[in-house]
Amino acid sequence: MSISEYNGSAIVAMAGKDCVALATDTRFGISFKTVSTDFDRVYKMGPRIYMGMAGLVTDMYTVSARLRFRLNLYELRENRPVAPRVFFSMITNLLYERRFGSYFSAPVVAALDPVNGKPLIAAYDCIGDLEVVNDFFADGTSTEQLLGICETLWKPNMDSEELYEVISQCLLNAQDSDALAGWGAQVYIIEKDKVTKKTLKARLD
Amino acid sequence: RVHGEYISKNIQLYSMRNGYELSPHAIANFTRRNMADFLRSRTPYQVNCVLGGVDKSSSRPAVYYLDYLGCLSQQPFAVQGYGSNFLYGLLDRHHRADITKEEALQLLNMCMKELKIRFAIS
Repeated sequence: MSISEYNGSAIVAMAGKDCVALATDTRFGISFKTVSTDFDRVYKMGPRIYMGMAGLVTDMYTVSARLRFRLNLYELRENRPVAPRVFFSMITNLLYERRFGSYFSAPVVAALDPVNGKPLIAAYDCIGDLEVVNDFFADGTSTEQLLGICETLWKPNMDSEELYEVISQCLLNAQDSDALAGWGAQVYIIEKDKVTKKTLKARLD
Repeated sequence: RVHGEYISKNIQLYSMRNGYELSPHAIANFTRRNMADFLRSRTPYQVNCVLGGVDKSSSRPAVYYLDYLGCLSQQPFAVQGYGSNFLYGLLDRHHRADITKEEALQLLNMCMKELKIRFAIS
């Protein structure tokens, strides 16, 4: 098993109509041993910017801490919350600094554009290749399962209720086929006026 | 042992410099950061830790699992090493959120007994 599959994770982000959702599993394991079943992988980086991190947990902590540092300095200097696209570039810069000797963790960012309220999903690999997608993106050990089911269930312009249903079903069913991810799910639905966090009970195995 | 001394001396230094003691949460994160920084150096630490403490101000206990890569996780109980293969099941079965000190000590004794019986290297 490779180093980015050492801890196990499943992350998926999906765009709807003026809303975006981010869902992660809650298993933290060391290879095949499950250590924690309520592990948090999502970080709030702005009022409508949520980042989930897949891959090696130690790098997840390191990258999110370093990113938080840069973000805080930015917000102190600029005296305003960061814009999503600027934040996306910040992540790219941070990850590419370690181009040879990379972090083994990659973020998936779900955000709402503050100007027009459109959903933005930023997809990265571990060295910072940024792709802004407008349908869905999945990362972690369950990527293949997630992409398959998302491709089937996703359709454009879903409202937040339907988006929540679709992303939850995608994650729960995909992580069931993955030994290294599962044990619950956290779903964040980000809309213009509110952010809802739901914790789902999954197959406990 | 070297790593343990390094951490404990730095914690003391912090409280001397800043005039207050660090909470378990802060110490756990400091230790984790230290391990993560050394991970990609020429001398990484190969130490797996279990951290435990009680926060002085809130009196809340906390147990942390910290492995040699710097993966930190706060848990109701934590086990490191080969013994974890035996003990996680036992602890899952007997541990409760509101366990008392006496019951917890009994549970620890149960764990030690389990290891003596089932674990070849003791």
